[in-house]
Amino acid sequence: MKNSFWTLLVTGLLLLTGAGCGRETDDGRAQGRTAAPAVAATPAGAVRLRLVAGSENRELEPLIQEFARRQGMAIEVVYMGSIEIGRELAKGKDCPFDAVWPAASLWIDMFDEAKVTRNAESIMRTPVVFGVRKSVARSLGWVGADVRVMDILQAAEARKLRFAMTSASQSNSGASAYLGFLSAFAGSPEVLRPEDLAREEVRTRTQRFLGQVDRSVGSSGFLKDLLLEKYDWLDAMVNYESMVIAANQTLVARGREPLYVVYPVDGLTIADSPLAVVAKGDVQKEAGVQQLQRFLLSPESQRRIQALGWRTGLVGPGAEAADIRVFNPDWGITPDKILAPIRLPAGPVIRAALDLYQGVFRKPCCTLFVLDFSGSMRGTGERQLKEAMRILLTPALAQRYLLQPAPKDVTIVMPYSDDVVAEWKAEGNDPQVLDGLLSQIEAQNALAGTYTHKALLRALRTAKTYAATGKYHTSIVLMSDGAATDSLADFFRTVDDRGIGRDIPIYTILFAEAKERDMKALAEGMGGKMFDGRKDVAKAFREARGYN
Amino acid sequence: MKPNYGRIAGVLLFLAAVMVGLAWQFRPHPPTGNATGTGGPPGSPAAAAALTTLTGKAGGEKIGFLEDPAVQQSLARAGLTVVARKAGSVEMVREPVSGQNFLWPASQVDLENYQAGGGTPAQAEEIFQSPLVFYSWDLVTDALVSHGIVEKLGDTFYVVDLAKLVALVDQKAKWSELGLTQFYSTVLIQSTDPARSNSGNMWAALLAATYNHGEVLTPDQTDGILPRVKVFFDRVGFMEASSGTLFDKYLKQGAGAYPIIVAYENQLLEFAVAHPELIEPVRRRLRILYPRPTVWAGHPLIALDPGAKRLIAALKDPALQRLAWERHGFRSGLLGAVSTNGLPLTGVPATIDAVIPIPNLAVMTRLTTALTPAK
Repeated sequence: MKNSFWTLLVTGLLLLTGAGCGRETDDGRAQGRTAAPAVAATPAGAVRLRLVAGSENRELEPLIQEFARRQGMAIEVVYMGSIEIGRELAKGKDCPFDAVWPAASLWIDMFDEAKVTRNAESIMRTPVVFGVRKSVARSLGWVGADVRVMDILQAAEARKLRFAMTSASQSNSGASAYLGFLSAFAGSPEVLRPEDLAREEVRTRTQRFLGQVDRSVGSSGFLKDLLLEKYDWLDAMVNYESMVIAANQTLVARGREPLYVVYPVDGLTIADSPLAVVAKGDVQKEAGVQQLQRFLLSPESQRRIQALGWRTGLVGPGAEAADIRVFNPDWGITPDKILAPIRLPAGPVIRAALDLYQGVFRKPCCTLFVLDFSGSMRGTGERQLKEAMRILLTPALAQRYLLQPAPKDVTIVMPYSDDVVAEWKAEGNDPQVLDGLLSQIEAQNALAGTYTHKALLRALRTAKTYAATGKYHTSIVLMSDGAATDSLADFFRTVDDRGIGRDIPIYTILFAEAKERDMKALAEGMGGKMFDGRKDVAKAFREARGYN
Repeated sequence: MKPNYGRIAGVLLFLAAVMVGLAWQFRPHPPTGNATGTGGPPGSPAAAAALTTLTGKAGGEKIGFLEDPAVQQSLARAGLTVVARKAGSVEMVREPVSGQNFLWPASQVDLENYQAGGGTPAQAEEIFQSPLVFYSWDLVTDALVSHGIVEKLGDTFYVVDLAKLVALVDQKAKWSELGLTQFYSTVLIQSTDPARSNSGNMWAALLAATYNHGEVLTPDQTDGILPRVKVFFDRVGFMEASSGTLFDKYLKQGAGAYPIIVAYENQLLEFAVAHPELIEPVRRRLRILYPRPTVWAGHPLIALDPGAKRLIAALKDPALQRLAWERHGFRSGLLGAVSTNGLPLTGVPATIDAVIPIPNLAVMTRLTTALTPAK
């Protein structure tokens, strides 16, 4: 694959730098917590910094704002997945941030081709681990034992372990874990090579493993929250040790069983959280970022970061003298043990591995697009919605934004108004088939009423049949202006009364004169998330895909 | 297929890099958080008017030195303000030099490369000397000592049998076979990318000499040795472009991730001086291993225009040379043997007596070319 999506992506972003520039974070929780209060309290002319950080760093925001207050700076932090951060870096000096803080230095190395980053400093470390419900870990004989990736595959195939992870094409924890699996399935070569990726047994085992993932989501922070919410359906997650610690603190407080940390001996990776300056010629801002680095690396800050479950300190992976209420041995956490990660392969091998993940290895997706063609969508809404579907179903565009369907993916489109007016299906990624689907959508015109929840109930029925096969990550994406005729409360009642369940996530994408409230409540009630399709359609899709 | 997009992107990226390069300046030391207590930066408005600003690129290992307020004061006394951007030594001599007054790579090879590319320096002189060393950990070093690879002479750890260590790598021995049962991996030595960074490049030269029975590689021997060097590096996987980044990862990720790395002697000395609060774990856990023989990094300063010759003169000031050793770990090529009293670390030898030269430019070019991945 000569023209990989990485090349296309970087090219595309340079040509379309407008897309996504200066946009806000997708995450509702973050929006209320950006630097607004600090800005108000900051004198005019103060240094203003914009940082983009991995979602796992959200819990450090108070520390950052404390620094900002003390220094009289205004610091705004936007949270994204590490790969998304890489994409921002690929814009070179057009990157709209003054500093980047991805989960691992790997993403800076891969995306900073224009070399705009300076002075990268690892602020803290955390290994990528399996957090397994302790009773399940015990019954699998994993407590206190060396566990290999193959053991995890066998347990999952025997249905003794239901687990979730982040998508390797969206999030560092997923990508790192995936590289660890590949290494283990290749028989632990000292470093993964291109020929390992071509080996049949490596491909088969990896595909088997990814086929066992019960839920794939877009970010480590969201994964932790999801596990807490769905702890009855999930036994484990692949996530950072720090996220498992955070989850356990909540679980214990709720009187639930904690997770037990399994460090896969032949597939371990470490996230090293580098904070780097994006050098764009503003000496004051660059100095500000370096001051922030020094603050975060000071003994006091390092102690506070360690108290949140990260390994800190400047010599060794830290945490030997850690608080055992945080690095709790009962949770399988062994801060005194040496962390022996796999060696990361060279950049081209990582790119090829991620291409394979997206195009071949990952579990196929069955995505149902429920499209609002009611009267209120006429004009702007209809145009935005069709434009969005064009990006998704035009292979060249979809690939540029890392949205291309894989050969086994299923795409179902349900336009609706008073009722669902059609159910169009496309299997695989044949451009002609996708184009046919797009023509059908383009020919659809806005109609009358907005019976959104009726349409969703029908979509759930179809989705259930795909989900039941166990072969697909199944999800529903609703694209609407949110002005539904029928009631959301009735919808939830029907879902619960009829035992439909809330295991199939519904993601909502807002268009036109978006009425946010119900769309947000709907997504959150169904284990999904709301996105704004008016700001950056590609990103909304990428996340909706990644979160399924 | 849209190959011309790639080309456009390449040009844009290149332009971006050049513009950023031009725009990058050293931060002024902020008035707060200056732990050294040496007073404010030089350059009251009156003094600033008299100072000449020189702009250039320096290897990452010298950034700490150049950022040191005491160094800036000393240069200011010579009438200079130095604005340097961190750049890989191998790369900086290949890139366009317009807008720069000087280049400060790490070794003589970089200077020769610059000249071979048609560069004509106004003046070039070696400023410091630092040997290439290995950094390791207490338990890894103990294992190497018990296998006769490392020997402790006085307080200093010497790699007395580098050939044996390299043979272990080539035989794909596991650390566990050396008694390190917590380690999962094979024995490998991690370095920076020899095609991009000087320390990796010099390590390639030392490795080639090791394969050549300790003799400096000559042009006619190169073909026989190159494939072995290439296999060695191919097995390492991802390699950093900067010795500073590699050292940071070694320190922070620990023995399991970075059992042995190749870097410059000055890096740990500088770290130890900057972090007196960490001296206990540094002494207890970290080890400097001196290969015997090793290779020198001579840190030649390349003055690109007559004005930059003043910087060479200023850097040769004996007081500054002493400060470079005591605070940043650079040995002086001018002052002779150094004093190791007063250093925060033990085991640093006063002299480095077994040093072999780097092969000539023709050999080094073939070595570097062979180690540059095809694009």
